[in-house]
Amino acid sequence: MIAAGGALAVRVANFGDGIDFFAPALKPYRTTEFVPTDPRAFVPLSVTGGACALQCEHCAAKVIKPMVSVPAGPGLYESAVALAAAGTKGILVSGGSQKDGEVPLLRHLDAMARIKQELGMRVVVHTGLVRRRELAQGLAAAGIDAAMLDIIGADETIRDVYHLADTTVDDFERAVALLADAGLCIIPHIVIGLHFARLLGEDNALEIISRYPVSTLVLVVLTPLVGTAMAHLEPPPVAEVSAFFGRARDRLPTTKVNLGCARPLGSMKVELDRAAIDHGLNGIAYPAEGSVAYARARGLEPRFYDYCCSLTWVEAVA
Amino acid sequence: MSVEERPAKDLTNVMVSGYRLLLDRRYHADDHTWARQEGDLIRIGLDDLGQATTGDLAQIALRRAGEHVRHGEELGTLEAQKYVGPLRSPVCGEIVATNEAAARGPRVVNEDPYGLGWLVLLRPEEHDDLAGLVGPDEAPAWFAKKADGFRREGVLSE
Repeated sequence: MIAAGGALAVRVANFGDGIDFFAPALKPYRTTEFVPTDPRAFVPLSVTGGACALQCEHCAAKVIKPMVSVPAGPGLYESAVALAAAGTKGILVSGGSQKDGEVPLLRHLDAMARIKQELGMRVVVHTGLVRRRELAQGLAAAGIDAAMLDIIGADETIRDVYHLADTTVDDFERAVALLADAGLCIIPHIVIGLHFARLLGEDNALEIISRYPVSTLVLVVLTPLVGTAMAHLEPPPVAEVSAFFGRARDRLPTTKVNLGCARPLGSMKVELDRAAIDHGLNGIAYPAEGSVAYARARGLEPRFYDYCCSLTWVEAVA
Repeated sequence: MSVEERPAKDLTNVMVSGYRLLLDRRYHADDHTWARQEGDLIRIGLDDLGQATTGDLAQIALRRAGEHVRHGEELGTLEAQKYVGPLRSPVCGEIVATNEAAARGPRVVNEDPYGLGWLVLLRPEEHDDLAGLVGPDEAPAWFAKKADGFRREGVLSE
């Protein structure tokens, strides 16, 4: 594996000295270094409200609860119309999973197509574990901008954390393949420490991802949430997470790799952000206070965006 | 149980829309900070809706004792599950003390926002400083309206 200094050099050689900082409207955010100018620019919606059939050990549907619920009656399109009228330029269509791990999106495909065609909004979709070619092709036909999904590289994690029966790592690879076959822009996520705060399938997930044409890899870090089965755990050690940052940069030297919004807060966040910068990651969501100055001190030039780090390939949400 | 034996009902401690509201203090209508007169000083903290909409607090950084703040200026910064940003002062004055225990263990603000989770003790510079805040007569209706709004926006679960 290349050392931190080497990783930063690889990243500068392949991407230049710009580093991206993101702050979408998932939560109010402001530091002395980054004040979003358009906090409603990108808004996450849940097509299932706060409901999720999987109730994974690390999440228990806590992540989708703060999202805007898509009402059953008016639906996704009307929600997008209201958001567009308020100035929103892009949406994340997310939601809880069905028992098979897929987010119930088929009934929303027409709405997504209308949102793209009539409202001109950016539409990023969190698909969950795509099982059906019909869904991948439908998303592509709707013209969505990108599909994102977690990639799990260990069968034990799929069984014990996600509670997915009769599902293996091969099913996650097949999901990426279905999205790739449909020609979609793919934004895989790896949750570092997902197996009860231990690294287990992360490197295998990285290998799977390296076999497909992904647009951006988003790394997030297990954050033990109150009200979940993992609430009592300590997050994975910074040193192990940092080392994985380096391996990701090493394995995907020409693919953008961002540090996503889900990661432990407080002093660990400061350390993780610095490690991400040192190991040559391309961007950071909701940077900790001081991270922008640290990036500058490492010779990088910060750029700021009011949208999701999954939209990293878009220079501006027009 | 006789009438005498019944515990006295605390009329200053009420539940509004599922969240606790104390009527012995005043509230900033937008920032969800509370301010309570204690002799010559004013103690400041987050109200129950404030801590709930902020989410699990991970870090609190407060300004030092001896510093002066004006209305709306930062008393410090909060980093939480659902919020990263400034803690604004509802009144104007000199910081006399900060809650170091809360800075070391921010969870206390979520668990006891009106008590052990206080944040700043301040010597006010204007005697009528609290008058612009929401008082006990209006507070229950204001609190209920804000809770409903947060639920509609999805900031609070149903």
